[in-house]
Amino acid sequence: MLDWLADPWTSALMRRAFLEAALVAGLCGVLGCFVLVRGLAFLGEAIAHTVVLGVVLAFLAGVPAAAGGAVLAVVTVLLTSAIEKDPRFSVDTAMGVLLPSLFGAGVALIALTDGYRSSLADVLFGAILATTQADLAFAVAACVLTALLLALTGKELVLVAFDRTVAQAMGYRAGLLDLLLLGVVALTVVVSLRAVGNVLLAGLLLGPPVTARLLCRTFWTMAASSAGLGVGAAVAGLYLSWYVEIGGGPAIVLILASMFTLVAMAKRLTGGGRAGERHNASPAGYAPGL
Amino acid sequence: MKTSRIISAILALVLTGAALLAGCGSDDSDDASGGGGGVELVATTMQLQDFARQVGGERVDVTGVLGPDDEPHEYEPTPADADAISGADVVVENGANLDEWLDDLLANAGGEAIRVTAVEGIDLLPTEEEGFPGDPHVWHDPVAAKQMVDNVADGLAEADPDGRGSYERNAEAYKREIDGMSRQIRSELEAIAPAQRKLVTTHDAFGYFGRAYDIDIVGTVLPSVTTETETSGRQVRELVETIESENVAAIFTERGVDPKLERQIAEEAGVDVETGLYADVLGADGSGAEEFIDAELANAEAIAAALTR
Amino acid sequence: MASPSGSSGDPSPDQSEASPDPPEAALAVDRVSVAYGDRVALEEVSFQLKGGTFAGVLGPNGAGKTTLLRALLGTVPATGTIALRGRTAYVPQLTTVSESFPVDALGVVVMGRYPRLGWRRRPGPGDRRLAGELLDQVGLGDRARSPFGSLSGGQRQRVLVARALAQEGEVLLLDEPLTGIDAPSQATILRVIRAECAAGRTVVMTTHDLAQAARECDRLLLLNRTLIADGAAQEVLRAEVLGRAYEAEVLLLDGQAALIDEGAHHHPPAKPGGLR
Repeated sequence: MLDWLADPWTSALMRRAFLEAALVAGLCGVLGCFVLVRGLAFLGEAIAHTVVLGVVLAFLAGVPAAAGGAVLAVVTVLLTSAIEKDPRFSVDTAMGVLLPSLFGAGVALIALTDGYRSSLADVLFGAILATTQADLAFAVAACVLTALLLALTGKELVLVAFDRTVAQAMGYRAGLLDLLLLGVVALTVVVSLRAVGNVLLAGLLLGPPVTARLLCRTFWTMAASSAGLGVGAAVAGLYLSWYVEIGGGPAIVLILASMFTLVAMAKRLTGGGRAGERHNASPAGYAPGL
Repeated sequence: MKTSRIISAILALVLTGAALLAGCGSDDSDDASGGGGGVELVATTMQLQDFARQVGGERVDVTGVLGPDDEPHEYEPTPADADAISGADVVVENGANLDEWLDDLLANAGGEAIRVTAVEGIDLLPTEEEGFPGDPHVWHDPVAAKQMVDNVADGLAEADPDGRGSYERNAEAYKREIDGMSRQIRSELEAIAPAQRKLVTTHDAFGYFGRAYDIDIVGTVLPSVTTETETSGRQVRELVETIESENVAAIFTERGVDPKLERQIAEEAGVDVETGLYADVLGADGSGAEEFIDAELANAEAIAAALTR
Repeated sequence: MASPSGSSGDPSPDQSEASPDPPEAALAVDRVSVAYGDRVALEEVSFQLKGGTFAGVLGPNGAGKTTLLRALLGTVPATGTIALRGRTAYVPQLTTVSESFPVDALGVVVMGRYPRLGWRRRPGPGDRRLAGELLDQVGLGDRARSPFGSLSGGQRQRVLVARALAQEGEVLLLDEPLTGIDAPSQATILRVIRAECAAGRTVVMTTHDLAQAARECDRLLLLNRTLIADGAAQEVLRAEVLGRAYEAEVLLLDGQAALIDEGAHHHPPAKPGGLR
């Protein structure tokens, strides 16, 4: 039994994968809670689309792919911010036009760029097993930055999410706090894309928070549970990939989906939780947008 | 307002750019030139494009679909491809599901081209991959390559009976060149000791090469004849164990692919990563491997160099 | 330029010796105007409130009541002068607060302590104890751990009031706190407000319940873009005065209650003002 648990850790490649998966899952778990309560899920998708263009541009400019991805992520955040604030634009329509355009431009550029071959599988599903030391450094940096931000402004970020009006009344600059939050969310998305790819990003960013919401009543316990669930799923997923023929990314998301299903069913069977409580796990009930 | 101006500007820029770029198409090989009088032929893979040029000579204008940066297994056809096909007299595909995207393209593009399936008449190596009747990478076996050349010649003769004589002569000449290539490769690889005649590649593209030249393909990073697959932890473990137990000297990646996973596996197993095999495509202009024979020779050189170290 | 809460007001020159409430204005507003683009929401509004005053701001929908509060808080740009003595705490309309957010009643009240804690410090046991006491004060001591969303409208409103008290401000602003909530909750909130005023704090509350305002408030401010009337109930709640504000038919009944029909005009029809 112990052998069975220890076996993957004998591989340096797997050790890196475990660490990367844990860091990424932890990041997504915590920040995903903010994304969930702020109704920002579309932003994660938006960044996932535009990062493709950023990576190709980075290749053309001869800079590291991550830099290009990060720049486009920031651009997406600012653009989304501006669109949301302008009451004349319907966010859905604006995003619906902009995102496919930017993504399409990225794909077209890839096709036309000499010497650039991107593996479609990598873009869609990530390559967690190909984690390098550089990838780990990037993930650690993202974690440190996020931890710093939350240590300084964590409770204010929660306040702005819960009651923006009063936060402003108290004198907090809600717009600035928004940008800081979106900045680390963008960073997290870029880091996570390298690990689990486009298609699975939403699973890692929203799965654990949505599951944790069913179990927790206060924000920070929800964030901690979400991080725990994410890291647990990441580790379990990699074990699955080690023993069964499933890729790392898909295995992780499989575990996340099972987790959510189990928890949701358990709640149903135990009488739907505490009597008289009304909360929903879907983002629809939360204070929308920025 | 400032916001709407910025957004409109970005939208306009992106949409215009994308439209222009998309319209340009992704032809990396010869465009159909002249057009008058010549037989219009469209070939999917670069190997087939080369065969078609060798056999067709001046009578045939060859337009290619795939270029050195395109992955045949994952290719998305463009409007320019449809355009070329609709005006073609002959369309040459590899077959065996390597270029399955051609089916839809042919259906949509219309036109009255004669369709040549290059693997016709060739016994395929078996594969477990769903959707594949067999391993499609037949051209790496010189005997199969010669059969492909004959199939192309037959197709051209059907479209252009007047040129039959020319095509048959060119095909025979080219097949002799392939024989010469095959001898040269064999002698290059002779230097490799029997115990070292083992290959680990990115995806399972060299089965026919291995069979033809007595090299054992002991494992692949992507566990399939196609690149559209993902490697599991278990497969990584098994590959590392194989590399270690069989004393494989190196992992060979394909030219143009970023060898991320290969590097990690190689580090784990304590071997080198050799880049530069022409697996599914030929070389870009200026690489010295723009033609089939040169690419195969380049492969043999690289393999010999790594496995005799 | 509006000066936000925290700045001291201009003291009035004559100081009263024995009065428990300092006579200088706790809140002084001088010719304040607010415009959203082309639309003028507030025009040259001026008034002063002493410490311990409970002021009610009345007016039809769209009159600028919420805008006035925003101007006082400094969350909306305004011309003119605003001087507030001490910190300002705000109780927003219930609809602006997320109902499904994962937080319990105690957690909401503790949020009121954040401005005093600064960026890095986390709320401590002292903060939580104070929050618990404040919840007791509004009658929700036993619901400290209940999810905010599971409380009734009236209970949630009371929690928000407790949160405002946790800020320990000198000025308390409430936006329609009694609208649409149960009578016992209303009574509790009014009791808390009166206690605050007795302790010398200044309270400004917007409402559209004229009768209730007349009963509870020391001072009424009648607003419809401009300040139409400012004074005690008997001065403000007069047919001709109300007529100017509501631009509608006003019917006075026994001099204290009024019936207003706004249906004919561009303001959306309001509930009939407080016939009790």
